Amino acid sequence: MSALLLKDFYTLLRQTRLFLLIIVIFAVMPGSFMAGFAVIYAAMLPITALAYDERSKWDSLAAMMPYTPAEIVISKYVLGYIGIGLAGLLALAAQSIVSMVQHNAIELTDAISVLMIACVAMIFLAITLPFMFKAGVEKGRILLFVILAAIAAAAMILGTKLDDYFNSVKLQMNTITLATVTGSVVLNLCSIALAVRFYRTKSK
Amino acid sequence: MNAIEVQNLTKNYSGFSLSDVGFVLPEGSILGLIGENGAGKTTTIKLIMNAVERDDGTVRVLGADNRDSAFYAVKDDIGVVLDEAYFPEVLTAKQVGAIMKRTYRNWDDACYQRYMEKLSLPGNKAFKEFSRGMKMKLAIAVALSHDPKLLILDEATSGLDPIVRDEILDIFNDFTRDETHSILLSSHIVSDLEKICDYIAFIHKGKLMLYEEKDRLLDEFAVVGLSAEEFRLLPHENVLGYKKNDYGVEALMRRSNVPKTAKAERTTLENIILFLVKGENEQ
Amino acid sequence: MNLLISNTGNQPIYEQIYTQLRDCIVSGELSAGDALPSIRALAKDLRISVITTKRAYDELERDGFIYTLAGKGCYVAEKNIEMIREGRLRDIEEHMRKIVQLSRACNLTDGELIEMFRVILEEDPFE
Repeated sequence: MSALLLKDFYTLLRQTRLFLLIIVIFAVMPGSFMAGFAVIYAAMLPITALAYDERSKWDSLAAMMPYTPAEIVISKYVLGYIGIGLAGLLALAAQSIVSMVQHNAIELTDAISVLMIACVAMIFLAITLPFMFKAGVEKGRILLFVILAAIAAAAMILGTKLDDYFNSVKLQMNTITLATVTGSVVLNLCSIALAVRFYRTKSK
Repeated sequence: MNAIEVQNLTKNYSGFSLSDVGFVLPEGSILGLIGENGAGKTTTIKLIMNAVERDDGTVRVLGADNRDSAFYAVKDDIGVVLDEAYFPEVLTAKQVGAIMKRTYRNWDDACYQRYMEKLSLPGNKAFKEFSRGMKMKLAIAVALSHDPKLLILDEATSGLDPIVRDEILDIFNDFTRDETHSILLSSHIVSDLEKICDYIAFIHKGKLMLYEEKDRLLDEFAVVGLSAEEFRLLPHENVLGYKKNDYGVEALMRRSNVPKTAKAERTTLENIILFLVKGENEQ
Repeated sequence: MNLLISNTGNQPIYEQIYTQLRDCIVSGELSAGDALPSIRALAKDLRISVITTKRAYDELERDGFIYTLAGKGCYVAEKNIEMIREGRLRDIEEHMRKIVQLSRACNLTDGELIEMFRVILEEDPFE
């Protein structure tokens, strides 16, 4: 799997420099709103990688190499997790630096918002990737835009409400947070299993 | 041991069927898979590697059934070059090497460097800037650099100029100096196969029309020049294919069936295939 | 050792190898005990099929010109009188065929040809 991750890493680094730059910039901008975008964009990296695979018909070649279908599928998920994780960490680091410079305490709620957005990004992955593995990148992109629009709308409607809600809760680990994290993990595991099955039956 | 054993291989698509294909690639040999574009060569190769699931038949590669989970380990010993599937275009040869190092158990970087030098491949240029010949050379360099026992090459020489083709055929020839090394080479350029193959399998419209030792084929089949009357007198089943023109008839026959009065000429593999296809089409 | 393979012409390749190697052995160009290139190395050097070189070697061994040591390779066998004689007879036959070809080309009749031969034989009487 490290081979596949390396391949995607090299490919993305070459082809999507601008996109990666945008992710980095958004991640370090103040406020969790832009950081949220950065994390969601990071979740789109596996989809971009899949698109490049399709273009060079990499799947045909990979089928002849000693990769198992599970490896091939899971590597894309892991790519997403790494992207989301790095964007999230970057956002947290930026927030910490800002807090330190301004001599403020680091807000746990900020950290939790980043975590929540990371979970949302992971759920996003869990929904779009199986679809991509079954129907290809073109059709998957349509689904992607629909979901992005839904998330953006939801974020706008719920955004202020969520802020109020978090401000009223102090330092307790919130059940909703826990539920979201658990939910996104479970959903991802199911999604991976589904995607592997789709991939196995697709080319045959 | 046989490097590849195929029996009753069948695969049905909506517009095309590969049916009942069977052949063997003995260890240490080179098998040439001939057929025109669309005849079923690439399908056969995909079926052999289990990239596509067969509808019927058995396939054993390097001793393992290709449906076994053990087959993934066997892929470590198989070098593959495909016709139109490559590494992502933006990668450089060096990057491809780094990826392959983590893909194949026996990857030999020094060997890869040697092939890159020998084939004059630039290390830091993006793949998409390569000519087709260079793309092929890179794929071949990769296929050879993990100590494979079996090479599977789909149209590895098509689209290349004759000098490069010869270079590459030389490399394949050298690969089989080791008797544990085997090659399955598919092409529609028959003259390339004629040079280095030990066995020939000819696939036409999804069926195996011919599977034979190459030299035996060239020794036993001959082209005979005859007048129209002489041709008419020949038993129908002895003629495997023919060409008529205003000056007479050229017939493809086994030497044992050639009439005493006629002169039999040794011919090329390409010619044999052409005669056979023409004969098949006219039936 | 020179091995020249022709792809045109009607003689199967294994026969060409057989004949040329046999002639080398009979003529003394290859001595008894000399090692021959391995079947595989010869095939790859000449860019021909291993099956064909194997067939040539098998026939040379069958006819007593070479022998195989397991794990080591093929070697030229000791010459025996029979082998030498046979080789020479084949050479004579080949030369004779060439003579016939030449005489046909200049329209020499059989009688004239035999007369020419008789004259030459008289120059070097058989003891």
